[in-house]
Amino acid sequence: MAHAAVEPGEEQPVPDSLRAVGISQRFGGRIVLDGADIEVPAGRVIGLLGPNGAGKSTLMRILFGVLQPDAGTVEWQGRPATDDDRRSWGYMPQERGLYRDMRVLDLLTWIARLHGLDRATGRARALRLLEQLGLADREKDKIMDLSGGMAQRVQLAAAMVHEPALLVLDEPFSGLDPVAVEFLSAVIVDHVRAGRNLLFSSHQLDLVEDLCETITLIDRGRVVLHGDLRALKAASPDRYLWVDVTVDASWVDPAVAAVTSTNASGSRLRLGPGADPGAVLDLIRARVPVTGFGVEAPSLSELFLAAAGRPAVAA
Amino acid sequence: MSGLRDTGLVAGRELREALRRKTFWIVAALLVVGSTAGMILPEVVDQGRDSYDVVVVDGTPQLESSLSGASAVLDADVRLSTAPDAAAAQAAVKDGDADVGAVAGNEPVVIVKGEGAPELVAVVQQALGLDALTTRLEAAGVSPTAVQQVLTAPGPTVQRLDAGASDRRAGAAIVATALYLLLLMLMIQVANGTAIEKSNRISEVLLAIVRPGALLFGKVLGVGMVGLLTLACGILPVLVKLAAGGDLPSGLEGALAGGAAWFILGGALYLILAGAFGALVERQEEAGSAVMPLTMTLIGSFLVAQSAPDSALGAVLAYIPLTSPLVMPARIAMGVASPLSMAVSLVLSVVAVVVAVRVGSTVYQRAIVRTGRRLKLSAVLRGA
Repeated sequence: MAHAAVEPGEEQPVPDSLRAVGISQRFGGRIVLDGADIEVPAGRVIGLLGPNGAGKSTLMRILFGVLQPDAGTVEWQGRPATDDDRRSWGYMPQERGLYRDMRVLDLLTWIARLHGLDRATGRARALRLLEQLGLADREKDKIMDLSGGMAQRVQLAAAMVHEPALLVLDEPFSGLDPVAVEFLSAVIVDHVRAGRNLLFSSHQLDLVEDLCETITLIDRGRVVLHGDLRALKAASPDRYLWVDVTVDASWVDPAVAAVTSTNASGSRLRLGPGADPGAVLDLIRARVPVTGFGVEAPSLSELFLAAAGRPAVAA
Repeated sequence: MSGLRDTGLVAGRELREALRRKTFWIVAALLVVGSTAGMILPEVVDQGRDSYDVVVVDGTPQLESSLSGASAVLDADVRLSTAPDAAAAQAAVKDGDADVGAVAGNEPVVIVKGEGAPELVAVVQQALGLDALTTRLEAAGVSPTAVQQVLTAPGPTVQRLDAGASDRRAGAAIVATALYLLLLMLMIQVANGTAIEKSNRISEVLLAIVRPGALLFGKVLGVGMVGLLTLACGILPVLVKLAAGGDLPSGLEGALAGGAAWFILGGALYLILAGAFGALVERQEEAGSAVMPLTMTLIGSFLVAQSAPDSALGAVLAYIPLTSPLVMPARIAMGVASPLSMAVSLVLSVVAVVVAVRVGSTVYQRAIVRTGRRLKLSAVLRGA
């Protein structure tokens, strides 16, 4: 199943996909979403990316009917999504929340039943999921007695216990340590490899760059870029030169190559139109010895900055 | 009907988790013990009847028998002793060995200390007077049989109007107090629960699965069932006593039956509103102050139900949905509620509950995902 970069609102709907079209939402006088579209086909990792306050959480709440949008529709498998459809989805909100005085297994079984499962099935799935998440021995513990990392995993389990067709995770990586990031990434990949739908949001663009297959970039309530990440990168005219030394901005003519970032591992320069990376590298080597370098397509955050027309690095 | 199933699941969770908490069992145990004590104590106290000591001087057998017979009138034991003369009787009364001294003869005297035992004094006075009258009639030649006939002629019986009014007032007071305390407790519980769900952010997880109406009504139902269980713990001893044929304050049964209908409707109304108010707050600690308007209304209707359910104010408040749950049962217990007024009040309560579910779940849904500050009810209702 090949998914090309799609322009929402123009293509035929992919059969087993979630589509939101023309979503607008304002709170008081503040416009939070302004005609945003998103499409979540099955079998691909879809990232809804953008800075804090871009409208990601609001869009997700609207997908689940927690908020009623001022305009726009949410479709599931080609028709307007119903309460029963939504019951088959799973949602992990950005603001984590569980009944702290409930026992882990009781809570998960109860949530599975709210999703329509019977008690025995719900309990069996909860036990299996706890096993997968490495929480098998904590099933009788109260949530409040778990560590932060474990509570995070229970939160994920609460969104997945009914084996949802569509899994929506709002900022799932925020606050996770690197081990937990790896673990969660594996869970996400497993979910989509089973042919199911998944949408997650993040404002940490560099953290999720390797995970996303398709991205929807959102800024100030508008979708600014959408499509297959690899295709978008290839299509971008921008190229970057990376060197393992600290480059001073005055060494190179900014029209030829501009330093965009410098950190402990070196500097990154955006090459101007028609600039020769070899010539720029020579200019730098004339100042300091360079042992590592490379010419690269834009990173996800560089794609975002270009699309959003912002000069500064996003949060 | 997934709505019904959801409501049941939400209510079931409330009930299960409540039964797991120690506080529920402590309150239940206290209620059973307290109510049992309330039912048994009057019986125990009744066993220890009052007893009076009467010291008699120059008593005739007839005087002694009429004094002993007075124990039925006084609802107390009357113990008789004799003294040789009035001086000895005075000393006995002064020392507290006897409550009253009865000196018979042509000039009978009742000896009593201070203002004590007025009923006993009246009884002894009457017995002495009767004794003196008998002696004089016999001295005047009337045959003892005739004297007996005249004196045993039936006296007037006392007809009391409004019998048992104070009992009924007591019944009303018991019911109103129980409902008041229970509603107050449950209301705080619902508001607290909603505030916890909001501050814990679990509400967003739930709202993605369940309609807000099912969430709110399920919570009210669950907490209400916990309340009914608690109430049952308090009522059980009353029922046991009733089944055993014991005395209850008259009017308590009626107040209980009437109370049940208004408790369920009024409880639903208060708890739904408490849930909506609880959704407005940002932190759990604010839940108590958020339901203050409801608490004040409840306290006001409790005061009216306690002090003047049969007043004009009580008659009006018995129709208003938020005040009727306490005032109407009190009026029923007092026997001043007409069937028509009861029916109208019930219908108004049902309408209010239906409206409250709609408005309550709207407020709940809008308020529960808006975090960061305490919300104003008017702003939430406007949808701003």
